[in-house]
Parts: sequence; structure tokens; C-alpha cells
Amino acid sequence: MLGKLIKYEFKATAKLFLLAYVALAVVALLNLVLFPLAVGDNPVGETLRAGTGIVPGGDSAVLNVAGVLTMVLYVLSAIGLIVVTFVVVIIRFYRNLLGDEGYLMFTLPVTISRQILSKLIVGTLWTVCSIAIVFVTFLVLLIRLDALEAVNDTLRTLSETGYPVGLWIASIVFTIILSALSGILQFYAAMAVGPRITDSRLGGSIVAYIVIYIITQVVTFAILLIFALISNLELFAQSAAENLTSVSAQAQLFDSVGFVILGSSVVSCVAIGTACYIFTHRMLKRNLNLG
Amino acid sequence: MANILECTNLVKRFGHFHAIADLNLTLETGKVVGLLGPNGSGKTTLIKLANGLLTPTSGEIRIDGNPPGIETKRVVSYLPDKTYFDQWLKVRDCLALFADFYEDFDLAKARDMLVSLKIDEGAAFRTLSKGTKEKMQLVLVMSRAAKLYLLDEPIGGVDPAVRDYILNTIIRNYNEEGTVVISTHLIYDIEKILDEVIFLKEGLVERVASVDDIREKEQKSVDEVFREVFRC
Amino acid sequence: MKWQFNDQRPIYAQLMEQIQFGIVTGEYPHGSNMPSVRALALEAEVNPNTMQKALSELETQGLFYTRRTAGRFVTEDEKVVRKLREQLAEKTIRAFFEGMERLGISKKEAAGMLEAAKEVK
Repeated sequence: MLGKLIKYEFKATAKLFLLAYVALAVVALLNLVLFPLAVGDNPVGETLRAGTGIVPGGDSAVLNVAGVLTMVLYVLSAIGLIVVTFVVVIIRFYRNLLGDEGYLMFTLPVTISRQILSKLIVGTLWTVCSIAIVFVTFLVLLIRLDALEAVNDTLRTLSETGYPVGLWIASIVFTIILSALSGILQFYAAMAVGPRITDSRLGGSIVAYIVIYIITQVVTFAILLIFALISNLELFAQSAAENLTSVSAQAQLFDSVGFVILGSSVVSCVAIGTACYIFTHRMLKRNLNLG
Repeated sequence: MANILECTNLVKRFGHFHAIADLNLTLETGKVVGLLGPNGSGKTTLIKLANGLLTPTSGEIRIDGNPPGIETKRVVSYLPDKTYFDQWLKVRDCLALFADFYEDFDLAKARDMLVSLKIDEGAAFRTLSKGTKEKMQLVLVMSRAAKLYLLDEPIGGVDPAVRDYILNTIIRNYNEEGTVVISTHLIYDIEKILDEVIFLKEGLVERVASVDDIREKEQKSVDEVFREVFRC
Repeated sequence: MKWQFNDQRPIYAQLMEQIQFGIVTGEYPHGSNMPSVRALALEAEVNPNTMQKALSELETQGLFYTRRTAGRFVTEDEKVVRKLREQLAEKTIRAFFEGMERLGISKKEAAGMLEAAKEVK
């Protein structure tokens, strides 16, 4: 049953997201062409400049502005894509489960868990996908600007000192996925409890989300503090012994900070996500009050 | 004859308002039952309690012996008084959905009915007229071999021709293992197809009687008796 | 068959009468196979249970007999049908006299008017 629900979720949401991804790809492509024209040392730019007598860099206001604008456009689009994806995921839950369509969904012979999970899985996938696509377009941009080499070199140096770059990257990815899950669940919880707070589901959901957000921030901060305290003892011992000049010492510092941030994020997300899931489930099971 | 629906001391409260107040009721299989009452008497609330969209404040409700849950949702076919499909779905997507989630769904039968209604399977749900949407939902609901059909105001707001079609569909799909509950306040039109009627007044059962009994005893149609009982 | 109902009497009783009429008028010929309960109910736009009740009652009265796999058949017994025709005729006559009485016309007068009306084409 869960598989079927997931299938329907994808079918219902795919068109919208793919459209958004194409839009971002177009903007990124545009950027790819225009930005280097103004700033970079490449054949296209040189030909253009030679032909029109424009000197690279500061002398061509028009091209410069165009280049900067398209870069700004790209950054906005990238952020926009992630935000829009997230918003669509939330609205999908609201409309399909808590609007008129809920009359169909909640009379299907499917458990409430499966209803929530199907939305959560598909929603998280789209969100993570959007982040991944932004990352890919960013990489492509870096390549075009010949900046990729520099990044590659830094990473290689780090891994040569025995620093687990791969693990670090994997941890970041893992944390992103968990954050998406937890973030989405917070909204689900807010929307599920909405009608109990006020007559208007929308109004109540907003109020509920504010409360949940505050609680989330407090909990996250508390866990962060705990993690910082745990690793700080080690940290101070380290910095006292060495002067943080060697790469390995820097790497270790980085490691500790990373551990604190990522570790606490993971724990926060799991804790808050679980709490929100249980809360959402309970609200939908006991207090479903459609239209 | 088994009881398809049993309510024991059923109560549903919204804040201070008792939508259903200490209701007791049993329905047998193989009947077409009218759930009659003025607006606000609890008809929709009772139906939602039966299909699991609401949970009781206290008391019990059982469908085919089970409390509302997955088991009951498998055997209950519900037609709400609103459209409940994603507007962007095509008609054939809606058919596929029902076929996917309901084992008792007769796809061929539903298709035949849609053909006779001249509803194009490739049409997007949002492009259909209001009456057509309601007909389509009815077709899907009645194409299931359910034990309990809950139709919430199926004939309100549609023209007489559609009304006839709906009533005929109900008669045609009648089977001894299923009970059809029709909630409505348009009694005159549906009286002839009902076995029994339940009068619901302010969240309580005012009476349960067969249509023939009422006519025999009161020498009046159920519609007239209703007007007397619920006179403003 | 055009089914008509009034609101004041139980539907099954009205169904019985109209089916009886149908048998007497030959709409449902002697010995013929009756349509299914569901088909009849659909035609009359009534609940199949109600139609079933009416048909069962008539079967008790001897107007139908059921052969297990073949369905319901109208009786071939001429006597039963003749008796029914008489009963229905009597009912119609009674209704006529009651109607005339309500108009203030005595039975004798009414009978006379009936004779006169017979001549009129």
C-alpha cells in the first residue's frame, strides 16, 4: 500500500518540480554564457572584446553589469528553487490530506502512518533533489569559471593529510537529508494541529508552526551546547598543547567543530523529527476535522 | 441477518455542541435506508463517524462488527457531498486509483457506466461540469461491491434527470449483501426506493421505521410525516 | 407498463394492485415468465425489496408460481384470473358509487345515469 501511495505522490507532483528544475537549468545556462563573457579569459569573451574594442574587466560597464546581474539572478533562482520546492511539498500535504481531497485519502483502506510516510518520503526526495541540482549547476558554473581546479586541490591536500574528506562530505549530505525530513515534519505537525487552535485551519497552523519553531530552536540550541561542552574539553587541551599552525592541528579543530555542528544537527533532527511525526500521527488519527 | 451498522450510546461533541447525542441504532444488511433530518441534525456527522473521518467522543460505533479502521474502510463505500478528487487528475486516473486501493472495485462496470453517461475517460476532472463530476463520483462509489454504502446528499443540487439517474443506479446496484444509507432532505424524490427511514433530530434518533409501515399507519407519505415532525 | 403511485398508501400494496391489473389486462400473459425482481423494480423505480414483497404476496394469492431455476411465472389457472377480474371490477364499481355518493347522487340515480351513458358513443 505504501508503494502505491508513493507512486501516486510522484505522479501528482512530478510535473511541477521538473518544470522548476528546467527553469533553473535555463537560468544557469544563461549565466554560463554571459558571466564569463564579461569577466573571464576565454575565447568567446576575447573575440567579443576584440571585435567591439571593449577591454576586459572594468572598462565595459554594460557587460560587467550584465554579468553580475545574471550571477545574482542565478543565485536567486537557486535559492528560489529550493524554497519553492519546500513550499510545494508543504502545500501538497495541506491540500491533499487536509483539504477536500482528504475525504478521499482518509477513507482509503490505508493506515495513517502510510499516508504521512508517503508524503514525507516523496517530499524529502524532491527537496534533497532540488539541493542536489543547485549543487550540480554550481559545479558546472565553477568548471566554466576555471575555479574547480582550486577546489579540487584543496580537497586533495586535505585528504592527503589523512583527513577523512569523503566521510565529511557524506556526513554533510546525511545531515542535509535529515534536516529536510525534520523541517518538513515540523510543518506537517503544525498543519495537523491547526484546527484545534483556531477555527481557521490556516490561521491555527501558522500559530502552531511559530510555537513549534520556537521549541525547535530551543532544543537545537540546547543539544548544540551539550555537544560543544563534550568536545570543548578536548579542544582546549589541543590548543594548549599546539599552536594550531600545522595543517593536522587545523584539520582537527575543523573536525571538532564539524563534529559539534553536524553531530548536534543529526541528534536534533532525529529528536524533533520523531516528536513531530508522532504528534502529527496522533492529531490525524484522533482529531481529524476536515472542512 | 447480520447487522452492518451498530451504534451504542454514541456521542460526538464539538466543543459544547453535541452533534450526536447518545445515539443507538442498528442497521441490517440488504436494505436501502434513508437518513433524514434537517440541516444540523447530525446526518453528516453520523456518516463521518461510520467511515472513520471522525472519532466518537464516547460510545461505540461498529461496522460489520469492527470499530472504524482499515478493515471497515475496505468494506465501506463513501460518497461525500463534495468533489474529492485532485482536480488535475484525469478520469481514468481516478478509475486507476479506485482499482488500486479497493479490491472490491469492478473496473469494467465503472467503465460501462461512464460510457453510457458519455464521460470521456481522458478528460481532466476539473474540466467536467459540476453535475458530471457528481455522476462520476457516484459511478465509482457504486462500482464497488461494498457492504455499506454511505451517500451524503447525493441528489441535492442536481437536476431531475441526474436525480433519476442516481436513483436508478442505486436500484440497479442493489445487492442483498450491501446496505445503502442515503442522507438527504429531499425525501419526496427518494421515498419509493427506500426500505426504511431513520429520522434524526438534534443528534438523536427520533424514529426508525419502514416506509410501508409509516404509510400504512399514518396514511401519509414519509415526506408529509417528516414535515410534521420537523415543523419549524 | 406505466407505474403510478399515490402518497398515502404503502407502496407494496400499490405495486400489487398494478401487477394484478397487468395480469388481468393481459400485459403479463398467462403462463408467461415475469421479468426479474430487479428489472421490475427498476422499471417502477422502487426498492427491489418492496417489489419482492409485492410479488411474494401475489404468489401467496396464487397469481404466480416459481420454478426454481426458471423464475417466476404467471398462473395458467383461468379460474384464478377470472376471479381476480371480478374482484377488480367490483372495486372499480364501488369506487364509482362512492364518488357519485359524494356528489349527492343516490345509487339508484347513479345506476340510471349509467344506463343512459351506455347508449352514448
